[in-house]
Amino acid sequence: MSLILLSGIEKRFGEFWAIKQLNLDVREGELMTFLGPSGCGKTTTLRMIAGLEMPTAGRIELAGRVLNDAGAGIALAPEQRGMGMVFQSYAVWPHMTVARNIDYPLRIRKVGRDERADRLARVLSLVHLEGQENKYPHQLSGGQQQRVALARGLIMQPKVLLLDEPLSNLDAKLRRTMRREIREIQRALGITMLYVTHDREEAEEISDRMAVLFAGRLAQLAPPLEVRTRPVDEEVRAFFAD
Amino acid sequence: MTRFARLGGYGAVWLLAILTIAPIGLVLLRSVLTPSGVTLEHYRAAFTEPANIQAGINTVIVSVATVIFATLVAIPLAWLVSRTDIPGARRFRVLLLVPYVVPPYIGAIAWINLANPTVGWLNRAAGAAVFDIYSMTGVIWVTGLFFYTYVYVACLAALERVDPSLEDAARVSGAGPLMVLRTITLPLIRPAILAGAFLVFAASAAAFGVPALIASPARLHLLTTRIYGYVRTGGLDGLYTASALSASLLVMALAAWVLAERMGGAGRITTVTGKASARSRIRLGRWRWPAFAAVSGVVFLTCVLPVTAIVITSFMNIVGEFRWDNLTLDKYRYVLFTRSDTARGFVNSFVLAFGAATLAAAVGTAVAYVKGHPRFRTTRLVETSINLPYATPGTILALGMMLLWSWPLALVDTLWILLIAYFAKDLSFAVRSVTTAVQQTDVTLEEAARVSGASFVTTFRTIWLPLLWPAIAAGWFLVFMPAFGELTMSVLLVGPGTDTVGTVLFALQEYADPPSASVVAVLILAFILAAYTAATFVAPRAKAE
Amino acid sequence: MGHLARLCRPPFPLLLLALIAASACGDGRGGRQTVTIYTSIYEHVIAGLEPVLRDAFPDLDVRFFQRGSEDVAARLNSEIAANNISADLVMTSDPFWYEELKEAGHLLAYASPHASGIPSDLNDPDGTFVTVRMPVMVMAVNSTRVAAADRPRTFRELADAKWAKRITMGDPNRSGSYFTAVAALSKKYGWEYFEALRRNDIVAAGGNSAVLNRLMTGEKDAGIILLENLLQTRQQNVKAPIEIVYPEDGVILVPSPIAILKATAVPDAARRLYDFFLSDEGQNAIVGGWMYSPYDHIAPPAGARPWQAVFSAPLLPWTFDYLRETTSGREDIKRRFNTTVLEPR
Repeated sequence: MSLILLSGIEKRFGEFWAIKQLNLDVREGELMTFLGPSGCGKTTTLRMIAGLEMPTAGRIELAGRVLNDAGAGIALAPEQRGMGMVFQSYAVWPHMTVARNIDYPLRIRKVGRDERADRLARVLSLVHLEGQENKYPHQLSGGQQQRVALARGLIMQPKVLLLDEPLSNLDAKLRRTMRREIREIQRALGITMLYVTHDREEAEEISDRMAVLFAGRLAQLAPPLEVRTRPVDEEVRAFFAD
Repeated sequence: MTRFARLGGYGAVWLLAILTIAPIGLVLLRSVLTPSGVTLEHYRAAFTEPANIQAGINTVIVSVATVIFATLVAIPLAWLVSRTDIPGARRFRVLLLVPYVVPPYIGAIAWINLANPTVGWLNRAAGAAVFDIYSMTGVIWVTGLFFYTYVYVACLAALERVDPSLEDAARVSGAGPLMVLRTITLPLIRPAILAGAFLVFAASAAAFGVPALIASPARLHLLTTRIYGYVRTGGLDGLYTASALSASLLVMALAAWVLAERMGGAGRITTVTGKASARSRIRLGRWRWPAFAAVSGVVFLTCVLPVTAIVITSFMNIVGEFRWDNLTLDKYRYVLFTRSDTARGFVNSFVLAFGAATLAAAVGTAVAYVKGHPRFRTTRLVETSINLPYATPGTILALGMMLLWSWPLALVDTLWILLIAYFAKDLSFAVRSVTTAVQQTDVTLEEAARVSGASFVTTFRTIWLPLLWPAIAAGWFLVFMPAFGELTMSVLLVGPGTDTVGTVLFALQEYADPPSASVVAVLILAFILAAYTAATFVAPRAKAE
Repeated sequence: MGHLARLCRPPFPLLLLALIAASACGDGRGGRQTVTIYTSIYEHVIAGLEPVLRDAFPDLDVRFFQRGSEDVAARLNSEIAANNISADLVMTSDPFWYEELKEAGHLLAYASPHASGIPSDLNDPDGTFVTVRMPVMVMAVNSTRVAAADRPRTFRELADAKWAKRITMGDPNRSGSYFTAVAALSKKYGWEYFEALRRNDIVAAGGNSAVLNRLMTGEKDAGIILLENLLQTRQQNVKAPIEIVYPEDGVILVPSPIAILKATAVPDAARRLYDFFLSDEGQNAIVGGWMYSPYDHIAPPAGARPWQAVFSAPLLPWTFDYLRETTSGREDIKRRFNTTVLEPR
């Protein structure tokens, strides 16, 4: 079942075409990675789905609802899309405690104190950060800060969680541990995740399907095994060769 | 380092300290000294005089009110221009900076033309005396319209430094643009806002031109105008009282300035390294054109209206008559050719500003170079020499210069004392400009030259100077422009034949011939804007912070 | 960008700096003596004087310090108190201050050969100062706002309620001529006169030009002002809506002196200039057709009434006794004026 549909997406920055004619669909409950070399447009695509960038042309739909339609002039603001997002730099607010960072989406929507506390407790245990509610971000390690970001993205129980190279700033060992945790959470909650990475090993390990992008163009969209064994062209094959 | 060079270095440092710190020390000394010994008598005398107490209260009120006004104006402007898709954002960025380079007393002249209770343009248009410029409100209005730029510049810089993903994360979490501003952006740039606010306070407390032209006619006084009065007409006793008042004003200004520096250093916001952070502009939607109108309104009030007022007034025969046959070049003829002090003032101001700027650029380069090389120590003394005069109100610095340069070396009433005063006051601009550039330049570039066999002087000439040149040139202009239009210190230090453009304008507006003051204001404004334009050509990439 | 930037590369600015430093050092005086004159004469008169003085005294470098009379007095008083006097000559419009300076012993006595032609009441018997010019205070109205029949006929009339919020004068704390006027009016009509002016909300600020400006723009309808400003405006600006009113109770005389400071370092040069200003050539340069000279052989200003008509019946006759007794009360007069007219109530 297609949860997210991108049709004819194009993105131009001045003279530079970042994305050319992108068509892809994301199925409900899957973890799809956007993979490719730097500058291929994977982050741009993710940001367009989040509403932080606007496509120059094309349509984006979520569960049948139109988020963007460049032709019809429809463009929903990010705060109206009801997704979660985790950033590479964690984007954890330094002037707020862990608790206030995480329950920010609930406070915005004026959710009552009891329900907030309840949901906060649950999501804290999900990301293994119990007891850290009153700490400030600068008192936490990089990995812990990323868990805060994850918890914040999940507390609204969104249909979709977007992750933009969430683990790139962590060391190798921590990356491996955390990506497995993320995969487990994804499976346990049944949540759809869009995960941007430049790390092939990471993508192969966690994806249900991979969207391989080169220079703004979708080269192949398939499960990892298929991309490995039946690369659609030489470029994809070379990208996965060691 | 040869011994000669080291001695020369110490000598230079002490000379710098004498030029910059000694005057202020003398004022403090004079405030507690009499021929018979140390006393607090002068303070007692100064602060039992009701007019002085009132002046102190007025100073605080004006400064606080200006801070509030400036902050309320600057923050929305900085946010709109830097974060949103408001039309004309780039133009606005520049236009909103114009008051930063223009002397505030020009604005005072313009707003006197506009809001004079009897014949001001605005009052004539309204048909009634709605506005009275000759009031505390008038002072706050004009100073606010100039000093908002301090907060504006600080906010712009801080907004640039905020990691975009912090704001993006809030958007995705469900916060609309204003919610993001309130809960995320403002708390993050708070140190910068506070730093700007304290600077505005310090600048307002030290302001002289605007209060002297606007408040004094209504017999309202601030500390600066009282000190000026005591120095001008008070004889020997007056100097004591002036010194006592100066000490209190100095404490106020320095406290604010130190707080500003503290705030400016704080802030744990870092930019994202690596990925070029594409900051997504907030879409204003149906608020686009209202926002454009609002910002245009601000530009209208700060630039368009005042400039139009003084330009048109300068061409009027009878001020206030809006008729074609009332336009004339007579006033220009009178100011430029019939009077001898205008031309003299322009020449003096140009020569003094040029000299001060060149000296400051040279010293600034030397100091910046030494700061950038760990094997030299920049002593506290040098730092203080640069920063103390900047933070000290001009009135006090001028009083100190008068005290210092009377004996044994009598430079009072010469061009030299003005040169020293301008140099001391504005030196920090040049130092900051070059220091920033030195910090951004890799020391290994110099080391490579030395290893290749170049002597110190050659290295300096062939490696450092070309690299630092934009910053040095920018620093030069940053001293030239304020020195050219300087008024606060000049009114106390000018003597026969050493008039400057500021004192010529002041004498005309305040007493001699107010309509002609608009002519001089137009000329000064034209000159400074020309200098600013020249600066953007010569030092395009260096930022005027 | 090319040329401009090239000009800004070293060594050009360094060269310029050297040139400036050199030029600032040498004033180009080339052995000339400097004589400093503190004066309240208008700037454009000074500008006209400078070339005349250069021709007449090629060996002297004459410098002027120009401010309102009272500002000049304040500055010189400060210099006297600090024992650091820069002025060689003073030439302002507050005659009372000269008597004060004389009594304190700061003036140099000099019997100029020209001074004998001046009436004795305008000439200090001890020879320390002499009247060098004779501005007079009259009234003026804005001719478009005040019909001919409604013009004030006397200074006294300005106290009438019909002139409420319509009148202006200068600030005696700054202007010597206005101080002299206040002294004369308070002597003749008492301080009740100024109480009445205050009730009429008189605007007392600035110097004569500022007062003239208020009348020209119509900000005020009538005012007390020097005849000199009025005659000049009428001649140079034919369309100016200004009418001169010679008060029927008499004009106010402002005999403005010249004096040499005893502390001068160049007494001979000072004496030469003193003589010059009293000579016909000097008189024509200063008096220049706009104000009266202390000498009756110098022609009165064009368009003004002849000397005799004006001086035969001034508001207050000028005598040395009047000068002396008013001098001792100078500060009191200013204080009284401030509390009566200026200070907020």
